[in-house]
Amino acid sequence: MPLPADELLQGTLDLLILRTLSREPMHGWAVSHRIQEISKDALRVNQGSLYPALHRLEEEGLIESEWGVSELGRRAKFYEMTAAGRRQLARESATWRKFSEAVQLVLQFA
Amino acid sequence: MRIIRKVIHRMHTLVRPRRFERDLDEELSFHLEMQTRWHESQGLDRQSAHALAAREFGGAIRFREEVLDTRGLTWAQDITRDIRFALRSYRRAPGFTAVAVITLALGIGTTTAAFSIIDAVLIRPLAYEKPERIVTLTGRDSLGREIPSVSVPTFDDWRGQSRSFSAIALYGTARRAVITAGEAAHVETANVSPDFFRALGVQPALGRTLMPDDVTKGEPVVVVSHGFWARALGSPRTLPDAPLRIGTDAYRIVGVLPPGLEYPAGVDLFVPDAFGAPWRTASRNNINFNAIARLADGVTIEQARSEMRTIAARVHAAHPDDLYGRGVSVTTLQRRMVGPVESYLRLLAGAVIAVLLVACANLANANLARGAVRGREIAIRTALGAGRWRLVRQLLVESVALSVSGGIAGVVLAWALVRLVAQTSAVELPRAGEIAVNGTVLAFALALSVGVGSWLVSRRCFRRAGRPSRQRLPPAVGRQARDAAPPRAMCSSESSWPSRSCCSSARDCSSAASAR
Repeated sequence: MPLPADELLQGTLDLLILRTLSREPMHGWAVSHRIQEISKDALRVNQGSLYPALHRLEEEGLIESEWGVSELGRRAKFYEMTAAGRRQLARESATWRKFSEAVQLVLQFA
Repeated sequence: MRIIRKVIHRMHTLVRPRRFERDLDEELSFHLEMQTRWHESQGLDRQSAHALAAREFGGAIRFREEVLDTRGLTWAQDITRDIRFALRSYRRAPGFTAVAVITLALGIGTTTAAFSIIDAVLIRPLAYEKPERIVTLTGRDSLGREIPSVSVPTFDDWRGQSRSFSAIALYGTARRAVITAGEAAHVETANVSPDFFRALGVQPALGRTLMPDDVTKGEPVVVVSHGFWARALGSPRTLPDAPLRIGTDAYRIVGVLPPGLEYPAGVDLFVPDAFGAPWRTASRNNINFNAIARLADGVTIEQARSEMRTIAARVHAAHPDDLYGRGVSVTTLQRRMVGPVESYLRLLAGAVIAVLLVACANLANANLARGAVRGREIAIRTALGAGRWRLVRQLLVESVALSVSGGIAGVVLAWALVRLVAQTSAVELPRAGEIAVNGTVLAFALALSVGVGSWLVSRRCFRRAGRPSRQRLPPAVGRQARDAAPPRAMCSSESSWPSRSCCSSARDCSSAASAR
């Protein structure tokens, strides 16, 4: 059973979205699909969390959006990372690594 | 930089909300289509792929709202909707509404009326130049009691010896017969020494005020109040040539005072007087006169008091048999005018605040009874996914709409009360002519109304926040809501209101629960 990504620790979904968008601009569906794919179906992003998160990140200036033409030939909204988003991603990734290493240590040795 | 971008975004979406909503709908429907195609590519036929995608999509409406909330969009639209909804729900309960509006109107109206009186009489400075520098000088009698007036010889001593004042003047009032345009009337007049208007710091609206040689040249002149100029003379553009007959003499009108000045109270005609007539100067016991002065630049009222104490002691030593010249009080003009009524007005303020509190308490009780009915509606709306802030705002809008309606009725009431106080002789107040429902008063009434409305709703919200609203649901809805209830540890740590930061729809929560 896949875990809904939005049920993970708070802020994790933002981190996943930012990391996914750091490669290339994508539309919302592609973001959720990519996360699901890369995590080998272990993480599933619910639309009910994805779109509010995307719009929130855009409000915060971490990503930008632009209407483009999708692979279907249909208008789609593409999200792209900003410089501020990149800095945020670097910070958050470092925090996450530290956190997961710490949890790992506790799980192994406590 | 980030903040600027945010503001621009916000402005953009606020200015073109429809377009933003359309974009959002398109974005979501694109997602749905992509998901459908994805399922098709996995081997489902189009119809079941679409059905599956739609099911996965879940409460689209709900997170659509959430996105709009994120963008601060729903606010502007919902406020109008809330107001309309509030008005509709009040129309459905006309009895409650009428009682509530009348209660509020009484509370806010009396408070506003009291405020407009207190503001005009106590708070607002007198309409003179630097009014805090104007003082009155009054004597003391042989028992040490303050007397409101002074005799001409004592005043002459004060004027001759004091250095604290840039102008010092004497006046006495009398009611005299005045003839204008063939009609005779009794008019309140004042004989004033030529420095009178310099002490008050008054600039004329027309012509001039009085000058020192007005009392020496011998031509009778008069300065008229703005009210007299309007009422008796018909507001001419220039000074009239025809003389004004006061008693048996003809006076030339040389100036008109600006509007809004009312000192001494009710006086319409100001006649220059040197106060040199023997019957005035003969006795120090003829205390029919009043003294005012303007503090010289750089002189504090304490310094003036100290100088006047010395002078008064000297005057008393020179005239030990004088009944009234045994001391002197230096008091600011405003204090002198309103001091006698200040404690009554404070009492009035306390009384109307009590009335307002009683009105609020009554209304809070009525609200409580109504809240029992509303509780069910609110519980349903919560279950349907209305956010907490959304509901609070709805209640706030309803309450403020009610209190502002009451406030508007209250202003009408205040206006009537103020007229009653200012224009009838039932209540004698200094500066009564200045009492009016003006901009300051309206702003006060508005702030009061909004404050009362918010306060009422804050009580309701706090009361509600402590109580699980699920319990009040009708049975059917209640069951669904219970089924949908998220596991406690995850979702309802803060209150009984399902928190949306955690669950975006009922389905999410139940699946999350079963996943565990």
